Amino acid sequence: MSVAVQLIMNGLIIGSIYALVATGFSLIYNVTKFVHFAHGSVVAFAAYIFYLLIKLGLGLPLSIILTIIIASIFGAVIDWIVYRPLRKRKASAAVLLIASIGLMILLNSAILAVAGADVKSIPITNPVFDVWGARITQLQVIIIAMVFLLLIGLYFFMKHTKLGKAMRATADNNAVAQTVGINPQKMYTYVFMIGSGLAGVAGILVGLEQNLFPEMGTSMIIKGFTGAVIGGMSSVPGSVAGSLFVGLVENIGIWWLPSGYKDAIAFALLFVFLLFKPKGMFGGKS
Amino acid sequence: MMLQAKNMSKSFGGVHAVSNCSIKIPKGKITALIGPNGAGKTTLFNMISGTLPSDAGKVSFNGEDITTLKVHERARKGISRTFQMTRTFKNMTVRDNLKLAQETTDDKLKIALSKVRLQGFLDHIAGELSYGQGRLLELARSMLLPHTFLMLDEPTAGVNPQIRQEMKKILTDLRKEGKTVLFIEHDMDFVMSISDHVIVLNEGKLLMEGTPKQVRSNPKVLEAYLGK
Repeated sequence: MSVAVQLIMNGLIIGSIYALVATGFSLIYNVTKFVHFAHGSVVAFAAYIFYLLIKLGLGLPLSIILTIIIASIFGAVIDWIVYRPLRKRKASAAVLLIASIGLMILLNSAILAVAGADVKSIPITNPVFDVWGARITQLQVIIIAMVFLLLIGLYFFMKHTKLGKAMRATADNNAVAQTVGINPQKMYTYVFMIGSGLAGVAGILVGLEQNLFPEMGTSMIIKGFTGAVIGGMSSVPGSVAGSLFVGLVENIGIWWLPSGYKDAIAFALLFVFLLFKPKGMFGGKS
Repeated sequence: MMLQAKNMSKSFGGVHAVSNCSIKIPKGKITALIGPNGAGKTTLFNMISGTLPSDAGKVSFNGEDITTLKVHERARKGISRTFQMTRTFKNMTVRDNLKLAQETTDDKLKIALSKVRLQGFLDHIAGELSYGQGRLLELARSMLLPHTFLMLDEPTAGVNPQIRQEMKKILTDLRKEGKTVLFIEHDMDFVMSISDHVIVLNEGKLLMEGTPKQVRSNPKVLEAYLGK
């Protein structure tokens, strides 16, 4: 029983982080209509920035705030430098996708070159609780609570603020959005800032909960992308549900399989959904 | 003049959709843009609203050159438009569709909706409305924008006779309010019954312009529609 509870808890915790990655990824996809694969590398970039700030002795609260701000700005800079010039030249979604893969490789390599190949970790005091026989750390409770609050906040932002509605309008129909005076370029900048800000939070949480390594961004985008595909790329709540599902399945799966198969389980799920339900659980008819 | 488009040209590949076409839209009037299929009406319309960049030509609005302005910048100047195929924000409520045009109270939104007989639909998802209702919502949204110039691309296409009558009343009410309307239409009875000024295009060029009576009695127009 306690093992089952432990695996479910682990699944929910890592699934929550995947949900943050998938939400940012899905938001960017819905507004810009292309797959920003370098989103995972923004998570890794944020995690390393956070590690650096902690090492510089800035303290946890200031490091968290600065990391989120830097990640947001970094997202906007990526859009301005890489995607905006391509959009101006009427580049197709496929071209933008290739550019995003190139950017992902570039960022991963840059992290490797600057931070080195060794695994890094951020030491923090982390009390452990016992919940129905499972061991849960204080940080893990904070992760679930923070992700939950962030996603609720994002929901209200998108649903009830003028900017949120303008972003939804751009996602819904870009051409019509322009006729009501919405500047699409501004929306792209904002969505990259918000999506990358969420990636920044995910980077912080991964940095605190797990170890840092240069290729971590690739792993994060595979999980986030899988979650988004399972939930339905066009649905942000679907992406959250899909990511929790990925977290749960890969953790419960290691009850029967060696833990090294976690990534393989995520890939298997991705293939199954791409083959049989490519629009996901909440993304409408295939 | 409210709007002037001078020497407008647009080619797609080797096909000249609009060539060296100039039109003037008088202020406070309803102007119809007509012509047989392939005459270049929608192309010219799209170049004026900014959704399609022109190869050549100049567009002036209230005396200001707006040729290089983007769609959203033209919208902010007061140019509002609808599309040939109904385009609403399908995943959003009717309320949110309207509020994107103008942030205002529910009471004012209900008044705007009552003008197009969609009162009671405020909380409906736009994608669930019928085609005709979607057309009316699109019109209500365009009218809510702080516009002075309203462009309608085939407003009565695919709608039932009742909605067609409602459209007629809405457009004549807009004229009474001093608004300027430019619309593309294939229904000649509709065009002749409400237009003050008619512009006829053929093969991407201006064929003639004048009052509905002048257009109706011009043999060139008949020839363009029916062939020699």
